[in-house]
Amino acid sequence: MTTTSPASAPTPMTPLEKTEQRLGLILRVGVAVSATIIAVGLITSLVRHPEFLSDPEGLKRLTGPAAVFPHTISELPGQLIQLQGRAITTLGLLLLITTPVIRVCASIVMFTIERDRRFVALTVGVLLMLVISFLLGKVE
Amino acid sequence: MSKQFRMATSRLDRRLSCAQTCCGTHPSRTCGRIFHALVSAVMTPFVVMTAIFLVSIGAGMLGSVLGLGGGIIVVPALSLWLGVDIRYAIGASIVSVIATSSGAGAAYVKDQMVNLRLGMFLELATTTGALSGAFLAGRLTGKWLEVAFGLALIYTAYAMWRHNYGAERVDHRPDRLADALRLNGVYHNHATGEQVSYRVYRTGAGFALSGIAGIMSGLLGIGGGVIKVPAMSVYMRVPLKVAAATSTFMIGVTAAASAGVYFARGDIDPYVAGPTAIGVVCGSLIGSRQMRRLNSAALRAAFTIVLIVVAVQMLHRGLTS
Repeated sequence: MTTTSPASAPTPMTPLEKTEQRLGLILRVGVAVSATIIAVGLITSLVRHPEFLSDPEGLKRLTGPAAVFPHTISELPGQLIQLQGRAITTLGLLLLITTPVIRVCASIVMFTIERDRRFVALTVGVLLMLVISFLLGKVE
Repeated sequence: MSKQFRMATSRLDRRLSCAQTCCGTHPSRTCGRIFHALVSAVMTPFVVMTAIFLVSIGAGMLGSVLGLGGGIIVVPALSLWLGVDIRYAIGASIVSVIATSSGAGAAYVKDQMVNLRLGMFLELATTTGALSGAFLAGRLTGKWLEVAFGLALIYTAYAMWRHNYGAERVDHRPDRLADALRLNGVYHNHATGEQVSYRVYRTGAGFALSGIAGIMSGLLGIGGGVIKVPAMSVYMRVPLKVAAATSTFMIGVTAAASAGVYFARGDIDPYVAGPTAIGVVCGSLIGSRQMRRLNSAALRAAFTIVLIVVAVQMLHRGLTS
């Protein structure tokens, strides 16, 4: 039998801290997955376009105003099927952009479980603001 | 196009070394042009992507430690030094804000440095403010607003600096709102290894200031971190590290809505924003590790400098536009 003195044991987490750690985990997973997808996409691009390593002219095509890349979500699946590097990268970027929104949604769920009505209302308000500002921006 | 060129040359004539925030004027335009000419002569897409990656590491480090997005570095570095179209530079900078926020935010949550409840409470103010700011953007002229904001930032820098030497009067009136919302927190001080508990004061005023931070970011296109960190630290008396970590955690949410809009407009280029995102994630992970060891006085001094830089940029933009 082993005995551990209470002093040396790590302090147990409060329910609130556990909730917070879960939210942190969502952020970590979101960042890790999206960064990996972005990296895979960029490497795919470099492998498929060896001229990226040698051709200074290619830069203008890539970073100039007329660059071609998926602009809308509807273009994305077709290009993903062709395993285009830029489409994979765009997918990763989309996931990265959505990560904070997923975090807000998750916190609504968690506050609901904890029956913290004030914070449910607060986080729903934040989500609502995000949706409104996104929709308004799109209309513009 | 020619109008733009005329504006640019007249600026050069006046020998103005402009500074740039998220979307506006330019730092050391001449140097930028010469550098850009060199860059476009020798650089292949791969080299440029690598350069974007390296610049973004720095942006992620600075942004994650100070609770800012890193747009202050990304936009000028990409558009002036690397010749990236300004649209894509701004698109990449908004991605960099999200990457900093999520990457470093996750680390800070793990290290118990973020006051999540305070962050989520203030997020309501910043998102509402940002939306109102976007509405007001067409109706208010930017000029005097920029001057006023610049002056406000100089005052904020002064308040930050004064705070550094403990000359402020502490009022310990308990804050009922903070108690009701359970905003008071505990954070783990890695430097001393102890748990530090702290109370939040003047919650209502802090909420209002965060709203103003949101309005300013919507109106002037600057990150709200420059207001949020002092608001939390000087005004609400949250420890500076917690303020910076909480701000880092918060900025991604406000940026996500704008990022969605930029994406829909086609401003987020995978070859520009991709290397930026990866670089910023790496930088923010390095930065969030440094944060543990950093002492608050150094952090405060760095933040004061950033405040002054942004204030000067704002004043300059307001007075010369």
